[in-house]
Amino acid sequence: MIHRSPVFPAACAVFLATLLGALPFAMSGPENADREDRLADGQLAFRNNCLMCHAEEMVVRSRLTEKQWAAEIDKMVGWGAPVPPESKGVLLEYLVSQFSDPKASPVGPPQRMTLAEALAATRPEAPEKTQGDANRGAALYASNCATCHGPEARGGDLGTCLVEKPVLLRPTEFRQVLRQGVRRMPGFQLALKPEAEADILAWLRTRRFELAAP
Amino acid sequence: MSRNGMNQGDESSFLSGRRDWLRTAGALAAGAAAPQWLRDGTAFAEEKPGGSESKMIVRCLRPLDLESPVEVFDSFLTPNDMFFVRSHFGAPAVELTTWRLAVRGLIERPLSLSLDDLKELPQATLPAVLQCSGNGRSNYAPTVPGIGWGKGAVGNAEWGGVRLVDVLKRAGLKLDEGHVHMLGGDAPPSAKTPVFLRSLPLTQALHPSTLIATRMNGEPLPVQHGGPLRVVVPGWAGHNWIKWLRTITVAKEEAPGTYQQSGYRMPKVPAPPGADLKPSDLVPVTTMPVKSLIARPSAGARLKAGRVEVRGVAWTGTGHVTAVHVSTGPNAPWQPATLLDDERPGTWRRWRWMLDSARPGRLQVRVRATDSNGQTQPETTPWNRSGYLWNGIDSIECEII
Ligand code: HEC
Ligand code: HEC
Repeated sequence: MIHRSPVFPAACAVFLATLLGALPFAMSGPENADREDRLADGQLAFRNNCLMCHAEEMVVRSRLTEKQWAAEIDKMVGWGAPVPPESKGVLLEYLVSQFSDPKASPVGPPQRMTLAEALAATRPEAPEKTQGDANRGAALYASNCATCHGPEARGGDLGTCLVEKPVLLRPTEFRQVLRQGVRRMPGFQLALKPEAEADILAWLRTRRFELAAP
Repeated sequence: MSRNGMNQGDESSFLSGRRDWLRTAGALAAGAAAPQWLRDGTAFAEEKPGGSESKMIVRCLRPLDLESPVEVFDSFLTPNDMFFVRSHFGAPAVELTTWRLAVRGLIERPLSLSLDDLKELPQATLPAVLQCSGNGRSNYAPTVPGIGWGKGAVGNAEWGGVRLVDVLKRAGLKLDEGHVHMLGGDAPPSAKTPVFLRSLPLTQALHPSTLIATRMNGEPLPVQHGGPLRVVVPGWAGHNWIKWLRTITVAKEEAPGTYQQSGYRMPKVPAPPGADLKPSDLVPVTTMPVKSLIARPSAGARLKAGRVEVRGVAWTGTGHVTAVHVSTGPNAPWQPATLLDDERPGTWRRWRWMLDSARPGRLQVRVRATDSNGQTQPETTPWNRSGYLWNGIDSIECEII
């Protein structure tokens, strides 16, 4: 995805170095090849299941024991991480291999940023002139998005909550996500016309996060 | 960091095959010269000098968790743009909504108050320390899950707004004992993720210093700090200071759900790692223990021999700070520092102490505060599994040249 990457290219390089540098590619022999495969699968499982709700710093800057990582995976699955049961083992093996021993894989110095730089990714864009139709958007949302993001857009089996999220005030980014997709979200470039995108955005903007009174 | 944590280039290599993607990235990492922190194995290189003091320390970009560099604490009030930022699910798009505060539950008159309605209530302003309950988490060994805060998930601001008690009075309380549930506009990322619903015991909610803040250091409360409305509970740790406040519910019981019933709890009696704790062994994390930080000189500073003023801040959750002591090494005597500012609960006091060093070489400076309850900072705080309320003695190393 490109919609946020260009802002922090240096950060990405640091991340790649931390995340990927220590994988044991140089190993040989059938057992090591197996382990190499499992770690690669685990890394994929991490990428596909652990980055939709929070950035990787939440994970890759932690150093936890196998027991603690297993508990984190269970907690996150309970909270909505769509980890397939058969991937749990390789994900755990991967996390333990990379992010357990602070001596073997020390946590690097954190990024430094001004507040303005840090807020750049969530700050609202200038308001748009053209507005979509929320009623049409509701129907379009129900048929294209609800399976993943849930009927009320509060998050479903595969998609995150969209209610009152900053991306709704960032129409350029919103359109980019819709057209190109992000990780497990498919792109809708061919399926949705620009008016349909605007209609869906208009409907999403009407949603509010509320709890029923007890 | 970008949403997917990968740069543009790797997306295509990712698609072209898992192994190829891994190899490219591995080669990239191997090609770069290992930085110093990797070579000498120091875990907390971030405490070393080098970073610009005007930049925040990034703990996580989504949700945004930013830490203040300690040099910022060389001042009574912490500026808004250098004040630490923390939330569980990230700031909501507050600009989408005409903000209203709903008051409901065991009250006479349910309310829906606009920001203008709040302006008509009596206004209150007070300075108070806001500290994340996890500040200093990175000091705990063995390490625990959660944001690995160093020293700077704390700050002191002047908060302005209305008293929570005035809002509750206007709604007409129906009970004397109970709890006030608080919910913000920040929706969790999944319908399966617990909502960040918290409650305050009514006694604390009725305390005149408990505010619904609309202003911070004289400015409208910035969104990243909870604007337009945030609860302020002086003396209590940050997880009680609900941001983006939208709903208040008065109830007999504490708030239900993970964040009140199992999160933010600590053992009554310190328990070692692996101890089997029952829910009844745990109590909610409320007030902050006494603590102090050195703001100047910076860790790792190279100082000319002679007189150098050491400065910092000290605070506590109940009462006020009565003494701060400084020493220049683990076995050196504790010497009293000069305290500034009022003996006022909830906020911090600055302190200063003159270091007079004739001998060149490395020097450790340590600081320890004592409060009006007779509590003094411990050498290290007993371990707890979520890494809350660290208040071990602060120290820095400098070099006299
Ligand atoms: C459905 C959303 C979601 C997904 C998917 C998700 N997480 Fe989380 N995770 C959260 C939330 C919410 C928090 C709390 C954030 C905070 O308090 O700052 C969190 C926090 C964490 C933490 C910090 C410790 C803690 O428990 O608060 C770790 C470590 C973590 N997640 C790891 C993972 C891993 C590993 C995965 C992939 C299996 C994952 N997460 C996937 C929502 C998610
Ligand atoms: C196959 C499941 C799926 C479908 C269908 C889907 N999404 Fe998504 N969507 C996701 C996932 C998963 C993410 C999170 C991606 C990530 O960051 O890893 C996401 C992310 C998003 C985001 C970014 C959220 C943010 O806070 O930045 C937006 C906006 C979005 N989707 C809108 C839509 C809309 C509108 C539709 C219908 C046209 C749709 N999605 C259909 C799975 C889906």
